[in-house]
Amino acid sequence: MIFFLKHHYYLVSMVLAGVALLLFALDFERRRPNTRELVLIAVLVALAVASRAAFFMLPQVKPMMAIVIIAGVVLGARAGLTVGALSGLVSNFIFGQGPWTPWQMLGFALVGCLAGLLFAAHRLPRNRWLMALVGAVATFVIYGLIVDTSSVLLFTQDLSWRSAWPVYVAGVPFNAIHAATTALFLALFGPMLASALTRVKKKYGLR
Amino acid sequence: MSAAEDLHPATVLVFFALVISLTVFILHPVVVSCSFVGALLFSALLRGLRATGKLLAGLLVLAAFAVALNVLFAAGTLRYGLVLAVMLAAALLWFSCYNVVVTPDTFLATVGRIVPSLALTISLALRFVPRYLRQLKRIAAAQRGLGKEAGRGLRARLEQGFATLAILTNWAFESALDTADSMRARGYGTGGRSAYAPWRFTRRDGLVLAIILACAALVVLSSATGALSVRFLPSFQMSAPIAATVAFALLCLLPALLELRKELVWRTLSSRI
Repeated sequence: MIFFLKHHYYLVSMVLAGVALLLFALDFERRRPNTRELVLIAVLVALAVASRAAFFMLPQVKPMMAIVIIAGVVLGARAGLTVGALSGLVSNFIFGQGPWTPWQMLGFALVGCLAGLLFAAHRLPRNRWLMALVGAVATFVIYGLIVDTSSVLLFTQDLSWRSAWPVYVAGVPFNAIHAATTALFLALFGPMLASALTRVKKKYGLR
Repeated sequence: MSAAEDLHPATVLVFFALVISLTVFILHPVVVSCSFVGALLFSALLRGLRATGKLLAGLLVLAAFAVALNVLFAAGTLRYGLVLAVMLAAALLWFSCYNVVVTPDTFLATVGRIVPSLALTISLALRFVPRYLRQLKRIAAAQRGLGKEAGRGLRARLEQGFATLAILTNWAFESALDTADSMRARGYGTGGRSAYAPWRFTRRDGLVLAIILACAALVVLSSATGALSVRFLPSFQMSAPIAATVAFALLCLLPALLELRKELVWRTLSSRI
């Protein structure tokens, strides 16, 4: 009986992730976004996915998270969430879907959403160093925790500290590189992308 | 051409959803073994022996990690670790087949009925990605023509990457908003949307879907009533009724069988000509 309950951690977490993503999707549909919003979101998603190719000579540099964060910063929490979730989905159409897809979608979506909550409406100044710091911490803590916890649940079908810590420790270098490259990207490229996006937003009168 | 491509995408999606979730969530030695064999056969037929072998080598590393993690760190037994490792390998093999059979357009045609705006956004993004990759090449060529080739150092490469991306970004925003206005001028959003979907739910789909659902229902029922169960601690105990085992084996072998049937029909027909 204990084992029966035990391996339901993964089932429960999968169902919760699915429900969360479904709620995002239904919220998006309910707001009936106009064509321009919809296309702008598609562009940001495609840029996030294609940006991996711009740095093909540096394979560890994945600017996807930074683009998701800038989308949240300029267009708000909702857009950050949508761009994040869709970038996770679309990039896996190219690099392969797997049990990691919903978790990556959630991770990107939550970081994009957080960036919107913190920086949109000028709550925090859009200083390049501050964006880099927030981006690095959010990538390491939120995205890293979500994706690594999903690995723990998948690998052990259990939720105990004893079996979890080796997975988290093994994830540290990957998360650290992901966080560092996100920060680097935000510090060097963030302001330029943000101003380009702000200009488009103004020019085409988007909300 | 896979036999799965002759079926309606809904049938295929239901199959993958059921077989993967039953493998992962029931976590029973018999279930994971059947699933592994079925996935391995399907992958070999679909992707060839070489690609499947390559994937298996990668899966072995992952499986070793799963066994080590469960035996050394969790309070699990070796048996439990092995069952988990086979489960992981089976699930990832099924996903590798999914990635061949379910292309983005089949996925979007199915999902598009539930969330049309989102499906449109995804298909736009999927169309933009190759377009941007091509544009990236053009930008790089133009940069080379201007004598701004990337240097050897890390700093030079980063700078070149950022410059290319900055040019791409501005171009992408401008051209996309033209696309948006052109879509609006053509009447997007004035009514419902139809999808280009050449699929039809045929009698064969009905038959295959009925087999899938019946097998899955039997396995779920058997697991829920405790007839199909396993216990690893304190002592290893397992029960697997024949009906549930046969049902799950049939479910797992179904894609390989359909694939072989198609191959056989093709061979016999072509030998008659």
